[in-house]
Amino acid sequence: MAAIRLHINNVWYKDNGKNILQGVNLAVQSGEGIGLCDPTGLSGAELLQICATLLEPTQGEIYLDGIPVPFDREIDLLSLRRKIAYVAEDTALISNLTLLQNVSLGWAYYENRSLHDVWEEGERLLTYFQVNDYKDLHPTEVNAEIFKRAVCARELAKKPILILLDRIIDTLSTEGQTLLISYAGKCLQEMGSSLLVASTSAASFASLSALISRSYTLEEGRLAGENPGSERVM
Amino acid sequence: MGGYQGNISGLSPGWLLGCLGRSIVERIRHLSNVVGLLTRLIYILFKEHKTGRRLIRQAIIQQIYFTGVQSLGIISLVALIFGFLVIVQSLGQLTRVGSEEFLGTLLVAVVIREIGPLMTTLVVILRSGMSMSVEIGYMHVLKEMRALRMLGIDPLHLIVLPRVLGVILAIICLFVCFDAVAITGGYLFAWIFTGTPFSVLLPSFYRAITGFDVIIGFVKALFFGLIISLVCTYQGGLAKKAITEVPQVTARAAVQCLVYCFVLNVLISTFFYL
Repeated sequence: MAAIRLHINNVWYKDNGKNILQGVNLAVQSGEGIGLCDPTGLSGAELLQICATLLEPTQGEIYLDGIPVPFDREIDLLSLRRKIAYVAEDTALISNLTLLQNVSLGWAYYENRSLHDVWEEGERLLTYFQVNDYKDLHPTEVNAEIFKRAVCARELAKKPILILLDRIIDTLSTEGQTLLISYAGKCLQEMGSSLLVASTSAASFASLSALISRSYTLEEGRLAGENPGSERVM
Repeated sequence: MGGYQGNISGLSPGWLLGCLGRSIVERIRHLSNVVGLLTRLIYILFKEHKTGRRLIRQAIIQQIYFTGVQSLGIISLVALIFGFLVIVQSLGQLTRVGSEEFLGTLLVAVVIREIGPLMTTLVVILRSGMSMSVEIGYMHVLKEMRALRMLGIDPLHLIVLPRVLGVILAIICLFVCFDAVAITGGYLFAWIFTGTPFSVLLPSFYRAITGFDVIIGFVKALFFGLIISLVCTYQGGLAKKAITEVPQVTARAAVQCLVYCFVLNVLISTFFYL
């Protein structure tokens, strides 16, 4: 049995006095993909942001490779985030950088290189997502599809151990979906990454059937149960 | 009528004291947050000095270019105008009482010690401070800061620190430029329009200026640069959800920078020159 990559242990999240997440428990194995159907769109985004270490849960813990996420130590969180790809429908690109510079920014920062030195690697990813023709344009100059593909390229460039896709699948074109799914699949197979996908409709998981082994529905902040056709590991 | 009565009844001593207390608590909280930001930046400066050096260096150079080089024109113009006005007005009054030899002393006291740092600060607040606040405000609202954090990059390191360092270095250089242009350019104008010979100014100016004046000028510029960059980046960071918050925090940043810099100027001048 594969090792548990992500363990969500009794996670609660409260916002403005309202319980958004109520005692969520979930374990995702290495190389496994899980779908979270969130019809109301109220709690899935928060759960994925907590997994991405961008939000601190009100109660409960998140374990990544068996190590609890230290939500109180920002410096440790920063290094953790370098291993997590988080793509949401509202994920931004830096507006004063070109698409290529956006994709190269992480490498340039951590490898003490200028944005010019890391172009080759960035170009390879933009080429994969078929947006290399727009590499010198700024995010405000491209359409939503190109923008989102560039976001995917930037996040997946981290060679992540955990991939979090929040309502992004539905917003991409069929071609964009195929490219994203194929690259995520490669990460799952070759690097043993884990995948967590949130969507407002379970139908979105149809295109991800090759990657998702089970899916759950989030109801009133709780994992209500496994959807038909999926098997529960926990 | 009812509203008027309500206002009158609201102006009770208790209500006024409450307002005053809230305002003081708010100011203390704000100041402690800015000091907290400074502490965090100092920690990052020493702890993270090896990561992202090239990007940080590039960002500092860009900030110096924007705040320093691109402001040179407006700083020179303001310096010329103030230098000319101070020299012409002082010369007129001093000639009446036959004390032209004190022109240099007056210039050092007024231009080098006070007007130089203050006018430089004013231009930097209007030109760079407000744009920094707007830029950071937009980055917050448009979730670009979150994108940076998701890349494992601390926005304080990549965005705020270079701006703080860049503004400090630029404002020190601008202060030197302001003084040089105000004294030489101003006097040149005075010579053209009034025919005042250089022999009136130069000896008394050299007698009056000391290394201490220059050092205090640098100290002022350093603290003003620190205040402007910290307050503007901090206020920019308070814009969270709506674009409409950006102009509000920018206006607040400009006012706070002005107040803090002017008050600090009074404190430094009082401490060192009285």
